[in-house]
Amino acid sequence: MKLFQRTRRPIWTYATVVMLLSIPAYYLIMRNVWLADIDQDLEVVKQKVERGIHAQHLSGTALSDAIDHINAIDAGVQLSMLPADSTRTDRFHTLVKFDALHGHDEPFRIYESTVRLNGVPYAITVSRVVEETEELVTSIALVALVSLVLLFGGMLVLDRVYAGRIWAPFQHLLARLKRFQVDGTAHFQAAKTGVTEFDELERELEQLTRRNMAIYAEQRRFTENAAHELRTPIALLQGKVERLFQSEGLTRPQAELLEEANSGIRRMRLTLDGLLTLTYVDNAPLHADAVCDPEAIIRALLDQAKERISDLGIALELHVAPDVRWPMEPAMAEILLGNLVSKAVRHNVRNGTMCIDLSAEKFSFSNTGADKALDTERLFKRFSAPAKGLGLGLAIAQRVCERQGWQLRYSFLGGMHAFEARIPNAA
Amino acid sequence: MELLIVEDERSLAEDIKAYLEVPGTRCAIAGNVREAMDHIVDKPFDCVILDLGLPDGNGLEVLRELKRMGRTDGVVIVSAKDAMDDRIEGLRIGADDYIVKPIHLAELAVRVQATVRRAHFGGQDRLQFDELVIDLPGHTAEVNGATVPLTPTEFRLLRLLTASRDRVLPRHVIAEHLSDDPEDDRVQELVYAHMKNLKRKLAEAGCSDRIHTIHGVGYRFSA
Repeated sequence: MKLFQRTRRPIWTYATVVMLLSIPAYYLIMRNVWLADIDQDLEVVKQKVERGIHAQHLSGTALSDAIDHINAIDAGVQLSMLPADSTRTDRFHTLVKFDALHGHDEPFRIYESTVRLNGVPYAITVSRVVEETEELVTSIALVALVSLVLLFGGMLVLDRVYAGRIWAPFQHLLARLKRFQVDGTAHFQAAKTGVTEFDELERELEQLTRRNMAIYAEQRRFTENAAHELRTPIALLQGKVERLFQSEGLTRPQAELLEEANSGIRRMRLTLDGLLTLTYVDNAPLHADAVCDPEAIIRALLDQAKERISDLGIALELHVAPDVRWPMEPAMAEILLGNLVSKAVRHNVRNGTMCIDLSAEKFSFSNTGADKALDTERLFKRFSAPAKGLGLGLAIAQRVCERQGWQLRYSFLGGMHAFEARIPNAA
Repeated sequence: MELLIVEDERSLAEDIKAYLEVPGTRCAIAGNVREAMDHIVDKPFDCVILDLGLPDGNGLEVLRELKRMGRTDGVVIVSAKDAMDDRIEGLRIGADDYIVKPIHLAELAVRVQATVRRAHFGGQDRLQFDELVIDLPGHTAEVNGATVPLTPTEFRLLRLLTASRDRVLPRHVIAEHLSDDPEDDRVQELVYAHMKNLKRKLAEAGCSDRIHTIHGVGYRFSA
């Protein structure tokens, strides 16, 4: 989920809830205010009727006639005599009933109460059509709805437009950071964004990348010098041994001594190569957009090893999914696959088999070999290999996997030693 | 054949000179960039064996100078630096080969021979030892005009032997030349089998016995 969406989501959820709740709330409040107003009017009418009749000082029959007239006029006030000493509880309610004036059913607001005329209790019912009121309330609520929709809609559009603009410096920074190469020559240059937070981030990143480039360059110089200082004396030793091999009248015991000296030199050379590869694997810059073609690499490696594979009578099974690409530096892939191929041949038996499976999601190398499982405790540790080889190959392969965020696993099943890893970030 | 060895380790330069200097080949030695420049201005070489880390500068300066002069001397870089950039830069400027130290002298002899012969003979490069003719670019060998059916490994073996002709080739050097995996010990055993097959095939084709076994040491090819 993008950061915009993450910040926008709670705000919009809140806004929508408020909007949905506010529309009925608006309607209900408006309606209640209106009804309260009408109820007050109805009370006033009741009081006017009561006071008006009192002011006339009517006799019993005159009062009765007057009430009949009022009821006959049917102008919203009805009176009827109640038994002596009884009263009716005051109540307001709304009722839909036939309206003679309009000729159809209408909602009426009705106030029922009691008045005392000449000491006699009368039930009084004051009523009024409320249709216009309903219409008014609906209109007011509609206006509210439209304004809310306009408000939120406008906010949504503005948010879309401004989110893009606000994050533009960040996107720009991210693009430059992806292009940055710790082993390259171009420095990461801080850009002015005009936003305090982004400016600070740019400055910090510039310093960080400069430091990284300096550390990387220093490390690399050190490794190169160390390599040079070690390779030169080994070359000297080897040169002497080789010249001695050419001496006239070399005896067999002397030749054997030279072979042993040579074997020591060879081990030293291979160890140095292994350690330098390990240093490279530990420090090689990994670029975010790196991609490699494992099929091309494995085919080249198998081509190099094909004579040894056929000399040893090893049956090779290669399965490669079509168009496999791994998000990996090609140099790292070569080191990884090279070590696994070498190991599958070197530890194999004559007329054995080796199977290689490559796909976008995983790889596996399995081979026949010694008849028992390898010691998984020591397997990936440096210089802890069994008799053959130096014991750096698997440590190197594992380190490459670690840097890729993959886990290299060993298993021994059905006489096959297998090394495999899943590639979790497969596209 | 004229070779120039540019190498600041005098002792190593002497070893290379002692190995490569057979009748018909002369080696000059330069210990730094300045001396190397003097030599190349003086005369052309069939091949320059060039170290990169020199006391007064980078060996690549010598290579650049050769290219600036429009010279076609073969150049094999032998460096203690194995940084990929150096390799790419060396080959880009026009070196014929790039080898990382330490290197077996026999291996150097093959590389130098390949560089010299590629430059001088192009596609028609054949080595002849009386009845035995080796077509280097074609990867084939003929005895008295008839092709000897060699496997790629056997051909590589023959090539290594002829590049170090009349010198002793220790078994481990052959093994390392043939193998893609220097850590696999079984290759030494395989050398014996390949050598036996090569000798048999050459003998069957009517080639005189040129490959001699030196017991406990290795083999020698007599020109």
